Amino acid sequence: MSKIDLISTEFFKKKDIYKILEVAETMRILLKGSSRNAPHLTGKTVLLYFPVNDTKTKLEFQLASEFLSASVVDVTTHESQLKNYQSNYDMANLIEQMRGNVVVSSTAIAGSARHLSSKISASVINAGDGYNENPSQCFDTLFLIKRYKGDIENLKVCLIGDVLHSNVCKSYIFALNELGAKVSLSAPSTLLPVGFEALPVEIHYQPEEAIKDADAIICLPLLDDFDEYKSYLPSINEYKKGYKIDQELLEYAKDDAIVIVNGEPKRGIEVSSRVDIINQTLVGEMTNNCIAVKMALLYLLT
Amino acid sequence: MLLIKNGQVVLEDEVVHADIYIEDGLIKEIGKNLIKDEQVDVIDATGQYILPGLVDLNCELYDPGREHNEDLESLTEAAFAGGYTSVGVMPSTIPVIDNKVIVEYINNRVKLETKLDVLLYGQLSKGGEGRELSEIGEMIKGGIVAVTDGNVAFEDKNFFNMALRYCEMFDLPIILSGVEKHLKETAMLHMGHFAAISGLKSMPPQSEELLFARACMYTRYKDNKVHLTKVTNEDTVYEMKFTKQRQKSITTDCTAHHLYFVDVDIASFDTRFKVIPPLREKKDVDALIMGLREGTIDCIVSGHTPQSKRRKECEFEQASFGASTIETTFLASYSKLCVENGFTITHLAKLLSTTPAKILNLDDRGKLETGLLADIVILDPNKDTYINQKKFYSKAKYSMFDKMTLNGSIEKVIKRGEVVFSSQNNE
Repeated sequence: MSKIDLISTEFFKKKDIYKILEVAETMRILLKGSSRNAPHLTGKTVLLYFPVNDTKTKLEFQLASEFLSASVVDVTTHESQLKNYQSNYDMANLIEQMRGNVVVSSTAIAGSARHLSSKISASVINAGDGYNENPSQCFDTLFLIKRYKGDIENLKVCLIGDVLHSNVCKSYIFALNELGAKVSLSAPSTLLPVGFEALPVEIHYQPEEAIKDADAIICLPLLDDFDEYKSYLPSINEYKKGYKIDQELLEYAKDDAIVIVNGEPKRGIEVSSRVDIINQTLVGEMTNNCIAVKMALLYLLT
Repeated sequence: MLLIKNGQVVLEDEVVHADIYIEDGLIKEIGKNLIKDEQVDVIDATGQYILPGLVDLNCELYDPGREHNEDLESLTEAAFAGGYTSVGVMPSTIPVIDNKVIVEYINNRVKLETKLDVLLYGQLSKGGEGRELSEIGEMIKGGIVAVTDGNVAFEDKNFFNMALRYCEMFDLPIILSGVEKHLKETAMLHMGHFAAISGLKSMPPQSEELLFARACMYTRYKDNKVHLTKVTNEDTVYEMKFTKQRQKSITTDCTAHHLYFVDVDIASFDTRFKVIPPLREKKDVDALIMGLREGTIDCIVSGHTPQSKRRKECEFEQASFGASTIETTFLASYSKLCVENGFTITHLAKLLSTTPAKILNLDDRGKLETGLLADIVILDPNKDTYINQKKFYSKAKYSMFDKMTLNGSIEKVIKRGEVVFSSQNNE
């Protein structure tokens, strides 16, 4: 039997995406119950390969695997070793010998999940590879939108923020288009890669135009290290004046629009303190949502 | 003594049905129905093209220094298998070819160890660092045929200007590259659609145009013979079209793989396609073919940059730049230009042999004429060649053309009157 990978959302079909979201819904109900253990992955091994320090995603996958009764092995090497091309190559060999069923990989190298997949017989879930794609996070957000909006088809979803340094942005564009949603995008020109025009997405430099009549607004966060932006932006202050999601900007969107941020937003820079956001963090009910999606992915891939 | 009978001999302007008689490594006679009754080896070339041995202007020799990538022996075999009989090599050795001692050392080894004519280029600056001039005059005495900046353009404009000024004293071609150093270190793709999707750092096509235009401007009032290597970009071709009208001494080249592949071919992050300069877009490919047709681009080079397998069997971002192309360039050019785009075979011979020889001031080769070196390639246009990278002679056994079928088949390669490659032995 050929293995199934989750590396990119580019060639995903509508029915597959909906299937993942449906299973995630079942998992969410399961998580609400008194016993959180389900036997779906008994006897299977999930390997976590997280050279990039993404504690939130790693924890979610770890919990998701354990709730599904899989054994979890952390095969993360230190990031500094990754710079040596040998260790990635050796890592693939090691993983192959461990004979895991699923490998969840999150690295700083674009294309690494694809490379890993070509070397091993286990399924690979891409939880972020450099600035390439991040389908696992994409499904978290899709699940949220579906829960709040019912149906994704014909919605208008607006992406605002740092497109250049966002891997999940491309996953959103592919998946949302497949589902029949309209995607618009707004970013400063220097944070927008050349060649994006060819993607099925509306591009506006002015966020007011992009956000017009939007049903959901997704904030693409800035990097933590503002020094990175020295050659891209004159100052964070100027960015904030143009691209902060605040009440004024949301006037242009639909009244019931939701704002989604992954992780803790930089309040006052990316999102105004007053705006209600649906925060995909490890707090409250949202935790369950993210874990449910990850359980669905693990279950469907094995 | 060798007699090639009944071939289609590709002369400078025409193709004639004739025989070629070779003696003492030189072409002795070209004519119809030559009869030699002595003990002469006869090659029957009925229905096959006889071309002058190919001359490469841009190839990497990693011996000494990185023999695991390619050494003299494997380069020789690979070059002969690809139809090349003279190869100009970049100073990418360790140590860099920047003084007479290393030039003499490599030249001695070439003389002893190989039949291939390996023509050395000297590095313009010491260590290739672009700060101090190397001993160009001394190296010429050692036997270099050209000087070069070695695949990365100099950052320091003043040094660049000074180097060009110094080279005015010598009648030597200066081979210049259009790749910026800091881009080579960080970026890896053409700035286009695929770069945007993949999230990899990319090189703007303008940087190449800018560097080549810079080289033209600095040499406008100088007597330099400048050759710009590996043109890939549409705008550069247009720029060169006009510049060359003013500056007749400028010549350019491109590689065969840039005529075939575009950036979207990398879609599965295939490291075989990681080359420098990067693969561009469809419009650039069209412009290159137009440039070759109009004469804006003077010749085709192999751009052979062998890398060890391990350097290619990793993620795209971490893989080395490089392509093993010396064995495929001839057939790829033949298929793309002659078969697909209607170039004549004489034009192809000019692009791959005559003009490169002329650029390097080699007047004893590059043409089929009596008295010149008997460097000959015999091409069978009626056969096809299935490219199998595992069967490469080069140590770099990977190819962009793997599993592709190219038109034509190299039947025999003759170097100084000696058959050095034969397709029968290959099977």
